[in-house]
Amino acid sequence: MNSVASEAAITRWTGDAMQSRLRKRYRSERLFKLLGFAAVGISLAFLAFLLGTMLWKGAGGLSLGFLTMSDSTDPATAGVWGALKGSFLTIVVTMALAFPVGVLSAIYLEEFAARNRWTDMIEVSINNLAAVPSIIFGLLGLAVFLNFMHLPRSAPLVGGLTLALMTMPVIVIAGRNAIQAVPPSIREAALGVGASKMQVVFHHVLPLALPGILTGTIIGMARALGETAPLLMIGMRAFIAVPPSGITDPSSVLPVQIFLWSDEVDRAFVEKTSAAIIVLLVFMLMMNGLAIYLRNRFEQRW
Amino acid sequence: MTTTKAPTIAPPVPLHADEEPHVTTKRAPKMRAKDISVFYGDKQALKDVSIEIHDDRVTAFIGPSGCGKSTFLRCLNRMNDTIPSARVAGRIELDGEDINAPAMDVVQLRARVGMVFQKPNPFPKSIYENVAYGPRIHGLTASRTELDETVEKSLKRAGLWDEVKDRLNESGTALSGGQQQRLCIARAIAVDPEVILMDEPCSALDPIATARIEELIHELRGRYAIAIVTHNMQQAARVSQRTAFFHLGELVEYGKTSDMFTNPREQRTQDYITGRYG
Repeated sequence: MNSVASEAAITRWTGDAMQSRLRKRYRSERLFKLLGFAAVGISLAFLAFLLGTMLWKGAGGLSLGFLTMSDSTDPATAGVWGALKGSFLTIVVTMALAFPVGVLSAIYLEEFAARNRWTDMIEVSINNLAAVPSIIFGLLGLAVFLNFMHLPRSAPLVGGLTLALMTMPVIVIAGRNAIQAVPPSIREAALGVGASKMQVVFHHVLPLALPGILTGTIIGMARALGETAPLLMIGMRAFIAVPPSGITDPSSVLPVQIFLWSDEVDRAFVEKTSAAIIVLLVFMLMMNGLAIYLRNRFEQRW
Repeated sequence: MTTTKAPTIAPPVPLHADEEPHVTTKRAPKMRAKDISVFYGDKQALKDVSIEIHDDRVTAFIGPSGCGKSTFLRCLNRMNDTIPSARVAGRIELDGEDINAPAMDVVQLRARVGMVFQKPNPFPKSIYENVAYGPRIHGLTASRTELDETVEKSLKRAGLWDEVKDRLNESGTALSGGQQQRLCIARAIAVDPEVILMDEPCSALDPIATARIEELIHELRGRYAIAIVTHNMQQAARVSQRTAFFHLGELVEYGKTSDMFTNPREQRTQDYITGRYG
């Protein structure tokens, strides 16, 4: 071999060119870290601002009375209990409907349905549905549940049904991803000892996919809990002074209550609005906390 | 590395262990495959393969990667059903019954023809649950004590009992690779199958664990008909009595292991076992 050519091909690891390349690499690494930190900082700053202003303005409005009384035209006796109870009932209806239907759809589409043009179309439709603006679901709920099925107006039942329609696609998509992520080797192992398809799904796939499914459900539920627009369409914006005692009673929900109070001319309602936001955030925090706890519990099975 | 200091290594198995002590009279084969062709979409992966698998014998499938040996193995318990684009032509019999016939229940077939996979794939459950799963779903045991016995017997037969008897409730995925594979073998034999298919069971294991599995195959022979896919020719020579050599989707040669390795009929077999390709 030509000695000059082989000499020239040797990489000079300690040469100046290599050193400057190394320095450049470290520079871009530091820059990336800084950008990432700034990105996190921005979202944290907004969160801190929101929490700070809400606490500063609303802390005075928080009292036992505020939590136990319902809406009133007089800010002195206006409370959040009715809306809180309404939110709770609505979310229970949503959960009871969207979770089983969403998970069953995901299981069917992933494990049982044949792959063909129809399932492709269904997949595209579900993805589209997840992106449809919530106000349109409100109109749908108004048309189907109120005008066609004549369910009671302003009721948590109808609110929950409407929000379930909105949440379902999110759960289906998250569920399908979680089911796809279960390693095929586990399915083969179960099939190999003679498990039927149902047994494979319910004994092995579903337990492993459950943490992922729950994550999707948490996101969907949190969105449903904070949703305002579709509920306005089905009449949940009415002034309701008596807390609902069931899912068919007229009711309000927290975000709508916040929306209504923020519209009041009376200055005293500013404090009420902030206090209601605090209650909503705490409610969400508790729900997410519970969901994350459940998810971690199931995750330990892996 | 020294070969003398390894007390856990199984004693070397004599090469060409071709004696067939259990077979005294000629019997019908346990499984008979006739003219099997497999297509993945338009691509033909197997061409007209005919093989018989006998009780009391280990049949090894060898050949270079992509030659169709695993595809063939997966036909024997209809595991290819799970691949939507796969199509199988030909006839496979288990005790004279067509396994692709509508009357054949695929769930029962897979219980009768168990499988051990290339990568150890224990369920993410306890060691006990891994072994108990099969008997439980098939309702093979009447009581908890009976199930306990089945689990113990299967783990003993798989040579894993002494290592795990004190931690049956620990996760099966926490075991080492070789232990996991023996757990998978215990899981397969817990349902008392008639045939055991092994798809390169040692390819993810170190030599010591491999020796352990090979020893196990010897112990299981006689009780189950065993078919093993391997791309390790020495392993085929060590564990099997019949060898089938696959190349490019064709069955090139099939016969006694001793003949295959000492006196192959085909030039391609000769080239492969002497390491000229593959």
